Amino acid sequence: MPLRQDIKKVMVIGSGPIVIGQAAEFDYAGTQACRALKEEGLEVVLVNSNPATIMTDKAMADKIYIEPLTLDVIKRIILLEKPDSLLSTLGGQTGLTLSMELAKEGFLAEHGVKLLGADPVTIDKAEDRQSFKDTMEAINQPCIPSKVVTTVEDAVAFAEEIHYPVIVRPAFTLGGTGGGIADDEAQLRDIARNGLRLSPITQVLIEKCISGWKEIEFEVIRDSKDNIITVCSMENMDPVGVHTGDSIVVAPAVTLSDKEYQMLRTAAINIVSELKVEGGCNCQFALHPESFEYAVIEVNPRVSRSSALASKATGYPIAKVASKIAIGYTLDEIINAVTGTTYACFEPAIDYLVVKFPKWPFDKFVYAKRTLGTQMKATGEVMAIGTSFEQGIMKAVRGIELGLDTLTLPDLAEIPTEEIEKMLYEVDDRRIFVLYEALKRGISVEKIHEITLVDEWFLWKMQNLLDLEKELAEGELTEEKYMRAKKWGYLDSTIERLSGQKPPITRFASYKMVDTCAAEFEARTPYFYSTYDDENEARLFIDRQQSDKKKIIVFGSGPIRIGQGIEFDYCSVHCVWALKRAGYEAIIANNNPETVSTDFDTGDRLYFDPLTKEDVRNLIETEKPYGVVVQFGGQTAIKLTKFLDELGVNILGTSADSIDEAEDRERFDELLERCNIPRAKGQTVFTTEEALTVANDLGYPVLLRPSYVLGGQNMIIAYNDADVQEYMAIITAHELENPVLIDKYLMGIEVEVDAISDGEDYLIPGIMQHVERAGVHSGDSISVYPAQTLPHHVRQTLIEYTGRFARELKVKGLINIQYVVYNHEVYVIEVNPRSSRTVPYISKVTGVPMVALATEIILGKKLKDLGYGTGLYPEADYVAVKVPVFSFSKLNNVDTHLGPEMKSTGEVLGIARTYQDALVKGLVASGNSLKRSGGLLISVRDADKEEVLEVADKFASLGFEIYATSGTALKLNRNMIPANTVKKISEDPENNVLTLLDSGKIDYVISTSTHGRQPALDSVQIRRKAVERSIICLTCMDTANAVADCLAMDRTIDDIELIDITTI
Amino acid sequence: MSEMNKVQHGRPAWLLLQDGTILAGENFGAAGTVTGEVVFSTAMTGYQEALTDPCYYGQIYLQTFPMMGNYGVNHEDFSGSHCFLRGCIVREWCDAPSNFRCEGDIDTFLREQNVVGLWGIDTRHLTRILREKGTMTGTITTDEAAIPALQQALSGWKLENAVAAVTESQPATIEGNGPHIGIMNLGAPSFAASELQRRGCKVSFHSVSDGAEAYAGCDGVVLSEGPGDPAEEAAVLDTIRALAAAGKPLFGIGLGHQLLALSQGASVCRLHHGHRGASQPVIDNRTKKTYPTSQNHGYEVVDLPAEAGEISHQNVNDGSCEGIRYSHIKALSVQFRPVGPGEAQDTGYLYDEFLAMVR
Repeated sequence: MPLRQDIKKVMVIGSGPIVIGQAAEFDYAGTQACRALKEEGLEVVLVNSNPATIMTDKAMADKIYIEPLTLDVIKRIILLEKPDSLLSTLGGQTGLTLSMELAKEGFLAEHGVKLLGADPVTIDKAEDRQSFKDTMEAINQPCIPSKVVTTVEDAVAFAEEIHYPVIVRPAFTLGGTGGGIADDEAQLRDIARNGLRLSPITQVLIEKCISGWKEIEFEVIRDSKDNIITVCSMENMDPVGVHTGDSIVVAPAVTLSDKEYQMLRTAAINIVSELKVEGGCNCQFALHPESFEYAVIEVNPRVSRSSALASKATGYPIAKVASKIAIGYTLDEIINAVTGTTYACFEPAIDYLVVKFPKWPFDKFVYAKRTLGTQMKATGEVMAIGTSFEQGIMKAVRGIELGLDTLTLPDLAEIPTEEIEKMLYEVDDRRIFVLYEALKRGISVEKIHEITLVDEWFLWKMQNLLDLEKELAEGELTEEKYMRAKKWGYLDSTIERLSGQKPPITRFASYKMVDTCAAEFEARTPYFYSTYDDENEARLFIDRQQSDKKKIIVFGSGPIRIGQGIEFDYCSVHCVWALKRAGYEAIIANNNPETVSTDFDTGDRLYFDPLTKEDVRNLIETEKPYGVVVQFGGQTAIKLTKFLDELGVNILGTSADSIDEAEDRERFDELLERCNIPRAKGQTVFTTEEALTVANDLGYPVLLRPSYVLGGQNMIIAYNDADVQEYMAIITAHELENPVLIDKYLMGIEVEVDAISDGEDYLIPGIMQHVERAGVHSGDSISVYPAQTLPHHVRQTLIEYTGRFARELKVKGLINIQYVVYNHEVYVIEVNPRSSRTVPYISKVTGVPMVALATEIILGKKLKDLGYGTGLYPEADYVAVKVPVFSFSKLNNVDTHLGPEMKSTGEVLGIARTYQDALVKGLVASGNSLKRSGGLLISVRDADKEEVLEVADKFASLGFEIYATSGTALKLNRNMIPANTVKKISEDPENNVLTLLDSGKIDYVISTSTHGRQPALDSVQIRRKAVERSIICLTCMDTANAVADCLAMDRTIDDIELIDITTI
Repeated sequence: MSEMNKVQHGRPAWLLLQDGTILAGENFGAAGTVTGEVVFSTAMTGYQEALTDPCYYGQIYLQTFPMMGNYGVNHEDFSGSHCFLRGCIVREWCDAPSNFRCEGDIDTFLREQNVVGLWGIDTRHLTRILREKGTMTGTITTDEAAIPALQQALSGWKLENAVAAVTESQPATIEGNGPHIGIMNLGAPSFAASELQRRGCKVSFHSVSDGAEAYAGCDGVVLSEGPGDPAEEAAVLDTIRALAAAGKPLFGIGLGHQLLALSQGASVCRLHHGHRGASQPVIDNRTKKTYPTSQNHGYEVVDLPAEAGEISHQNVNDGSCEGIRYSHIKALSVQFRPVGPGEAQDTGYLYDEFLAMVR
């Protein structure tokens, strides 16, 4: 069937902020969907609260609302825009749940809105545990013995029936939030209670634990004519028990015989046919490793992280095809865009192996519980394509940016073998490294398999790598040995290190195509991966194209992690588009399967490979580009600068030398002196003794950080000698290549400026002011554009300083500068001559296409000729407030106290005509319902006791019941603010702050402490309890004040105008 | 797995192609020299089934998926009694297979079956050569000295008498309560036999040399799959015509489809590089439904006279004929291998249609 004639205007709901379990893959899916709909001439109305996305770009939809994703807001937009259809399956769980609620309430029917993609019956059949079970039983698909319960008692009773261990899965939660495996009744009670609370319908599934079975997934596509194909199979290296988002995954499945494969493929097809999904669907199976017994674990009737992976793994654009199906097309009518000649009903055939490796945040959250289970913890992932598992895993492990280039984790080297053997029983983020170490210690494949139930196939492959490494270490490094190592994915530098010898020859990689069809057809829009083979298809492809355009490579930002998120992908994609518009051939290099940048048609060519020096050198060798761009790919790309410069590659934009000048502490100090710009006093140190001396000279509090930083990694504010000692102990535990910086901590207003410069002129689209004082990482601060309270002379100074930096560093492109305003003086905190986290949102609010302008300048244009003027750009009529979003509920034991180290995973934006209105929108979008009554618990450090009075007073006058720990309560009561005293945890096990939080009386918590991080501390326990209970917890006086002011307003979110940003 | 048969380096082998290409890799399976048609398959699983499929008779099988042998070998999953192909090419073979039914590794199996294997070459490069230049004759050899002479001999090679070569004696009949279906054994009758059995049919096997009278007791006839060039089997066309004229319901599959079409005035020509894989997309022109199908053939039916019938199925990618419903005789045929119980998503419905014709 061709395009349905009754569809003219489609609403698309995005997935909101990036959180663990729902990340960049939905920007990719949503962007593909919007483009697919627009291609058909349909009007698209987009709603998404996440400003860092490509999908919320003006070109992506006709109407764009960056508004809170709440039911009420969506309803108002529907009334305003009157779409005739709603596409439900491309905005992750968030979009699906909202769509379903709208449908179930009858709101959609009432307003004549058709639900596209999947109807409520389908969604219920797949997502409601009981109806899913019934549906599976009806078509003879085996499920795991399980029961839906709504009380803890029922959970315990059923567990006794099916025997422990059991898995708890809450209904309708993201990435399995609140779930877990219980080995006994005590654990079950704990997990079930939490799961029931987190489930929006207070429902959890208690299920027999089938840990150890193989976990196999199929991505399936179905159309309205019941045409069904499977796009891809995937096999988790970790058996059932570890969330697939936290498992190393290979595609296609490798250990299944054809019989097993066809059995599960048929099951997947039958399930999707029964559910009548129109679009993409993910089916997860558990397969008994020693028989044909299997069970359906889960079905997701929408595009998902797995479908993004399957798309990138095969070249088959699932989101695009799913969108076309939703509006009426069938698989035999949709052309496969990669080949340009075949159709979407062709099941992709691949002639390589894909390895997905998760990126976990434990390098930032040192005290977080690293155990992996049914709740996803990874923030991102990389995908590696290889001609063998060995090659794939080697690429993946170096692409994940942990500083590793083999499966050897140096930390494990010192651990005795008995300990290593014990570690095999625990699954955490180091799993694969522990497996490798165990093999190294001579523990047999059979034994490791027995303990871990990881299929021997994977273990033998690891043994192959180990054997090769042993061979490299012995005897002469022959050409034959070298080539074998290259084919298995070893870098020259690794081979040299392992063998102690220079490689006898140097071979550059050749490139092969991802073309959906294993070379059966010629491809029009393929992408490439490196390997060591005879024929370099990329070279042939380039030669055949005979393009006379100049080629430019844009380096992407790698896996999504805290501190380097989707915004850098936004920048990379915009750079690519600007290059294409300017008549260049834009080539993108990246290894993140979740992103828009790695979509097959974003760049003129895509290279799916790690972004290490050698990988990049190989690419340069094949492409021989005119130049490269590093300033949009975050630290991942920036750190290649020096190497590329030494290779003689033309780095377009700001020079390598300038980048170094901004990052190298001594050179930066010289720069400041030249520019006559002050910064907080500070010094560089290497040892704890030096650190203590310097800290005492400067006077506490002081800021400590390593000299090269990313997202405030390992940065703290120290208030005394003990803090300095603790910090230096952690830092010096790792090898100290770069020194530690100690600065005087200035507690002032933090201001951020992004500017575009051509080395002479500069343009500042806007000045942003943070709600939180300096000391809270800029990524975790609420950021306001335009700055609200800066005096004229301060603004002039900011503009003047920014200009000096731009000129002095000869910035060509983007520059991001963070300042602190302290006692009306402007001090610089840091200068980043590259794109930043705030670029997407400032571009959207001000209408200044920052990346496009920066790209034009990189290509030689002058700012004054680009039509946006110079200096400070006129302020917009709207105020935009960026509010950070955290994933604390997914990460046990992480302290939620905000500080210099970044903790947020994503952000939302509130846009309105006034600051207060925008703030309300931002807070609501971030998940704060702004409840106007209830209880407030205050427990703050001495330094905050004076300031907290004002906040407490505001809450008290709103009628909140205030509770506080003894010291704070005394202070409040003395100041005429009524407060109940609550006992500390140690004072009374039955009746204390924690039990108060459990009681349901508390709606807000204000908690600060001098010390943080250590999970055993009282203050950390309070904050963690708040997370578990979904209670809003504020850890900075400024945030608390801002929230109190919003609560005191006479308006609520319902009264605030909704804004289509395309009209700004 | 007790004694593992590790991947060994240093057993060189070469592939020589008709166009002069020589690719050097390593040997697995049997050593020696074999010549055959080099064909590629894009199937990602099912190497055991392919290696033992009679339709690969005389061919050198190139698997585009880079790994073979991950789950080892077990006899349960064989399509035929043994390997019919001559050589096998893959990027790497797995010396540590892992599967609960695994009986041994692929190297040992191919050695036992006397199939010469080549690994360690750029298989994608080879696939591209075949895609661009078409299927061609090739030789795998482990004898370096013989290369010049072997290359000389390539042009004269032709696959002959394929059907006769693979036809094996079959049990006289398989009992069943349903209609009696005779299978004209064109080399690979077992796929059809098991589908008919699944549907309760009584099945009898007949050799290509049997005349129409041999099918007298049958309610319908399946013309089975098989290897080779259909033009070689012209002798059987009279039998098919006679069966059709007698009103016997006919169902042609694969080679059987081609011969049935030839008997009704169509022609057959060689595909440029064949259709081989597990997901060739086919559309049923009547229902407009598409199916990923398993295929393995080098020829296609063309020029079907309009009065003979209509093209019922087509390949979605290249539009080639994948199935015919005949107008004046009780017959249908498909190029691909129909399988399954006849549920919404499988192609077993074709057997059901055929049996409806029989009843």
